[in-house]
Amino acid sequence: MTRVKIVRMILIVVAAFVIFGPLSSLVIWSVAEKWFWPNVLPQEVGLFYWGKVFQGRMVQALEVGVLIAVVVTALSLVMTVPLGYVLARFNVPFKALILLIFMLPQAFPQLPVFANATVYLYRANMGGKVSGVILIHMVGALVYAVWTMTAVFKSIPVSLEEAAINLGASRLRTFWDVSLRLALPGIVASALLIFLYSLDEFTGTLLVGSPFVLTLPVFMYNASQGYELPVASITALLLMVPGVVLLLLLERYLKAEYLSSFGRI
Amino acid sequence: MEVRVENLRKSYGKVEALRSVSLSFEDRGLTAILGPSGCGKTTLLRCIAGFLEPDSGAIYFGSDNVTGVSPQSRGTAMVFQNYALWPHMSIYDNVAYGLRLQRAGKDEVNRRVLEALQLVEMMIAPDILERKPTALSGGQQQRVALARALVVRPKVLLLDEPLSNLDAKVRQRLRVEVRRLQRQVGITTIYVTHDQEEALSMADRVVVMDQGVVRQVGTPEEIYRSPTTAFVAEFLGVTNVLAGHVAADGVTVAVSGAKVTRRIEGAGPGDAVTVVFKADAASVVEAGVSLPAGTDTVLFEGDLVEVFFVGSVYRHYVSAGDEMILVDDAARAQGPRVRVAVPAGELQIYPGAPSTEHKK
Amino acid sequence: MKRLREWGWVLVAVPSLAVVVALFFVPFVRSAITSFQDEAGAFTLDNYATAYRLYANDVVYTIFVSGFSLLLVLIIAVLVSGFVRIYGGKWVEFLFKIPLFVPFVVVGHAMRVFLAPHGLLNSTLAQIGLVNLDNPPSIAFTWVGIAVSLAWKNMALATLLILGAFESVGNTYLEAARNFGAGWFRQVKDVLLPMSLTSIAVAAVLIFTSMLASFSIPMMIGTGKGAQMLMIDVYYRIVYQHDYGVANALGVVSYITAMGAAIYYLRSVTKRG
Repeated sequence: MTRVKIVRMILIVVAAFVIFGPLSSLVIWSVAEKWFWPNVLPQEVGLFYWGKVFQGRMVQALEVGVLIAVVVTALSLVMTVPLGYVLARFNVPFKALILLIFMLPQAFPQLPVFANATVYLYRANMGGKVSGVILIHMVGALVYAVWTMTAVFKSIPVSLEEAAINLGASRLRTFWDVSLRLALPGIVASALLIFLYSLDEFTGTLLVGSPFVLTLPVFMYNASQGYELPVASITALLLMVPGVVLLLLLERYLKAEYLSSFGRI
Repeated sequence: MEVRVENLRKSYGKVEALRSVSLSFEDRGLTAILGPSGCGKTTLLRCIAGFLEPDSGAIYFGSDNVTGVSPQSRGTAMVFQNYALWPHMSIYDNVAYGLRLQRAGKDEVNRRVLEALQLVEMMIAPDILERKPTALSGGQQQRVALARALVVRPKVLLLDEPLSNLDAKVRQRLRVEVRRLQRQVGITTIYVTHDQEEALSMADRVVVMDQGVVRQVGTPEEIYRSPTTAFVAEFLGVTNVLAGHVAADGVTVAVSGAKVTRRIEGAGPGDAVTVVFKADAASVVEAGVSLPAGTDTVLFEGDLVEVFFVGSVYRHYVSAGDEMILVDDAARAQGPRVRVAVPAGELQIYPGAPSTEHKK
Repeated sequence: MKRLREWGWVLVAVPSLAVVVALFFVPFVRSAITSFQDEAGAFTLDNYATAYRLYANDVVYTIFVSGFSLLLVLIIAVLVSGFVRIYGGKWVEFLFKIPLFVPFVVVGHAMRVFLAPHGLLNSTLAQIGLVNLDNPPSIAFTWVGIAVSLAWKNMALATLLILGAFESVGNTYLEAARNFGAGWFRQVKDVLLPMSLTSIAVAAVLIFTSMLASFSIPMMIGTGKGAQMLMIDVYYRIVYQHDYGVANALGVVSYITAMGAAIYYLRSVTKRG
């Protein structure tokens, strides 16, 4: 084996250990029924805690979280797909300012801002309610989506739209037949990333939602503080599932640009 | 359908892309718009297509004023440099798109699509209709783009450097194809290109543009052999550009010192002029070889710096004074000293000193 | 008519703008204003004085932890990206993408369990004899735990961005270096790094500011007593003391630190380039 191959193998092994090590402890904890130090593996394994978790309040947190994520994704798409197209193609007055407004939130810490936003949401009678949590999720979702949708539409050559217009298609028809069709993979990938973002969102949900509205991350936090480690670990694993599924399915469609801005929200 | 533009003006910020351009494009003919990049030819084409709104001026299709009419309703069809075939649609759907927008019946669509693809010789495989554009080569994609444009029977066919993205061999072949098709269908065609050979070989008439202005309009022969300005003279063919000045008895050509008796309009005694001649209009022999006596021949003596074989002729680089003179001659001359002879009739002389552009 | 249509496009932006302005910019401004107000609403600098007295240490701590973690991330990302760029490594690339899809809270919890004194890492290392059973090191509940967790999560983003920058460096530049005898390390140091400086600087700023602002991970892996990450201080100040004045003062300090880092890095990079 060449030296390069050996180094690559070592890299893979080390990477696997670094990446999967912490995750593996989650997996082991989720099936541990009795585990005492200093055993590497639990003394007793079983699915007891899985049953307990699925019968408990976790299910409700899961349902609420999914519901919120679906609504956030749908609303974000409706609001940003047209906006992305407009920003990509037309001379919008104040375009630079608009784009700046959607870029700045990524530069500042979320917690202090959201903490103050919570005050406003409570005043508007949306604090501690699903509507408030949806709105706070929308902030992050929109900031990500506007940029991504604009990039998606910008990547479609203008000449493809001009060719359709030239042959008699109206702007709307061209958008539907050409632009939207070609943008679809990017839009779908971004939609799934928005869904993931909302499902995993913690800071805003903790501030605005608790203690009445619980999503999975907040539920998991509560469980881990109470030293119910198997419960917390099971919840953590469940939280990871959508992400991993996404990663495997969309390897092909997830361009680096979408991923890199996703990594920041 | 004759196409006419009158006093078209278009600026981008401070840059004047079109400065009061007035032209007519003959009915059923192929008019080429030729010029260096930035001359305004693409801007002009896009104004005619309706993708750009001119700042002022008018565009007529026949007797209809189409300025301000949306690009959808003008009845033009455009062929783009990058083909612009929709990658998510099959070849059939690409070509059928325009027809379907016109709400043609399914049978008619089918008939005309097949007809158009036959015309461009793209019915090459049983499954060609279902294939996607990415499965085709550049030349094939451009043929399909042509079919898509012709199938809607447009009033005007607009081509924006359609062959620039293709290999030399493919380009040569497609030039003939496009010309043949255009003649066969008889559509008024406007063809934008920066490639002189393309313009000269394909067009009925050539419009030479530079910096937003039309420099000359004429047949290919006219603009090549009888350019009316220094720019056009320099732009076409492989040319030599020399300084000269007007003396009492004619024009003195710098470097050579030879005198040419000719009156130049717009230049009086003492004024500078520009002298242009094509490389293939001159001949070169070893110094010392006597040339047949000809009263009106301008002679240069210089050092033969380099000779390149370009296939059809030998291109000689002769250094005379501070100028480098290019001569294309079928025979290869030997240095080190040579003599260049240019018949006076082949000299094109224009008022004004040579622009520094040609030194590049 | 054209002007009307152009303004029409702005309308499309209004709903999205409204949400972001109402729930980000307005609270942002409010937090800055109230940091200078006392209970009665009068102007005061007391909040900042209190914040300095109580939390100055934590500000330094946060910057230190973030800086250390950033360094870790950059070194790993550059080395891994360098290897993958030059020798290829589909599996390595894939493995390093995984943390992007693991939520912050899960990272926090997993690290806590993995790095705990009686956690999986220690028990595994004890088998090999590297760890003393009676006195296992406690990584999880110290600054190292936080730094490692932040690094773990951000390694993916850093590798993505830096590998992307490396990929856009043409092969010919590397081949030229190889031609003159440069080995892998030199190619990374002399060709890839200098030609990707802007991208790396941008990545560094993004990651540093996100680490300064981290909340979920410190919440999960919490140290309990001693120095805290800044956002934890803000949170507890609000939730347990209802003291928006001091909390917002801290918030403003965090805004300035984030902005300052961004400006410093970008200025130093554009000056060079």
